[in-house]
Amino acid sequence: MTTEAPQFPHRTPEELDAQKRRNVWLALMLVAFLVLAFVITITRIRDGIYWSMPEHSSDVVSMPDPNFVPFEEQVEQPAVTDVETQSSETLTLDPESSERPNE
Amino acid sequence: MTDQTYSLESSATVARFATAKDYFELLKPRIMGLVVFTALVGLLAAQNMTGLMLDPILAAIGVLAIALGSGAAGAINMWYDADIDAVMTRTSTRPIPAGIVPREEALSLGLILSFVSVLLMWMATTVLAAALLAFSILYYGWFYTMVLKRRTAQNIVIGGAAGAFPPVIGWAAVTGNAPLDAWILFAIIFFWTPPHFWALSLVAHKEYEKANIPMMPVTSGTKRTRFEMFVYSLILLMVSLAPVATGLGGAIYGVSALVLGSLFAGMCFSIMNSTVGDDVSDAGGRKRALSLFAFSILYLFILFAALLVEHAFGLHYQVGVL
Repeated sequence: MTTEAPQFPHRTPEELDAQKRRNVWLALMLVAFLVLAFVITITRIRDGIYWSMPEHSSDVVSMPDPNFVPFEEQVEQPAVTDVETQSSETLTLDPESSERPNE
Repeated sequence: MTDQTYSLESSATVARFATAKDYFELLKPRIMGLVVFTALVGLLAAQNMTGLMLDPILAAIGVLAIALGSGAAGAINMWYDADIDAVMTRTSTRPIPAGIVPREEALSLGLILSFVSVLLMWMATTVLAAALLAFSILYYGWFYTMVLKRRTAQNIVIGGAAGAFPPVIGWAAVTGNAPLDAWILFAIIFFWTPPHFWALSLVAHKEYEKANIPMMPVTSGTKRTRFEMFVYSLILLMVSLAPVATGLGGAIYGVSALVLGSLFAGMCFSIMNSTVGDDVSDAGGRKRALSLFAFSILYLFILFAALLVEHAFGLHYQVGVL
C-alpha cells in the first residue's frame, strides 16, 4: 500500500500572510477567553462566593454593601420609649446563636 | 460560496483580504457602544438601589459579555441580510456585500461569540443575566432579522425590544432578578426606538423599497410614519418620567427627562406637520430628519448619563412618590 503526499491548494504569499494573521487573532482570542475564565474563577474564590452562599449556589454573586442604608430608613426614626426598649431587649436572641454555622 | 460570488459580482468594490477591523465591523460597533452604556447604567443603578455590590472585575466581564452578545447578534444579522445590504447604498460597503468577508465566516463568528458571551455572563454574574442575554441575541438574530424584518411594517417596533434588554441584563447581573425599575429602563428604549429609526427611514425609504423591506414609510406612507413618530415621542415622554415616580431617577434625571423629552416631542411634532420624506431629493427635509435622528441618539445618551451621574456619583436626590 503506497501513501501519497497530501495535496494542498496553491496559495499566494498574500493569502498565506492573511491566513497567518487570522490564525494569530484566533489564538489571541482563545488566550483572552482562558484568561477571562481564570480571572472569573479567582475573583469568585477571593470573594468567597463559592463558600459563603447556601448550598454553594453560584447564582448569587453580589455582596451586600455594609454602608448601604435603604432610602426608607434614611428618614428620622421616632424615639423609642423605655418600655419598648425593655421588651425588645427581652426578645433579642443571643447574637452567637444567630450566626451562620459556616461563617 | 454562491452567495459570496453574488456579493462580489454585485459590488463595485474590489475584494481584498479581510483584516481584524473588517471582522470588528461585523459586530456593529456603534450599536455595541450604546448597548454597553445602557447596560452599565442598569448595573450601577441596581447597585445603588439595592445595596448589592458586584465585584468590579466581575461587573467589567459582565459588561464585556453584553458587548460580545450585541456583536454576535450584529454578525448574525449581517450574515442573513447580506443580500439586502448589497442592494442598499448605505449598507453596500459592509464587509460581506463588499466581498471582503465570506458570509459563512460572519455566521461562524456570530454563533461562536453568542456562545462565549452567554457563557462568560453566566460564569461572572447570574443565571438570569445569562438567560436574558441569550434571549436577546436570539430575539435580534432570529426573531427580528429572520422573521419580522422582511414581513411586517411593525418590524422595528417589535424588534426594538432586542435593543432594550441591556439595562435589564445589567440589573439582573447584580441582583439576580429583574424588578419594575429595570423594566422601566427597558420601556424607555423600547418606545424610543420607533421615532429614532423612522427618522432615518423617512429619508431612506426608497432604498428600503428597492430592497423590498416593508418599513413603515414604504407600506403606510410618510404621513402616517410622521404621525406615529409623534405619538411614540409622547408615550416616550410619559414613560421616561416613570423613574422619577418610582425613585429610580432623582432630580437631575427628572429635569433632564422633562426637558429633553419635551424637545424630542416638539421636534417630532414639527416633523409631523411637515412634508419631510415625501420628496427624498428635498435637501431641507432630509436635513431635518437626520437632525432628529442625531438628536434621538443624544437624547438617550443624556437620559442614561443623568442616571449614571446620580447613581455612580452619589447625586441621587430622590423625589419619588411611590
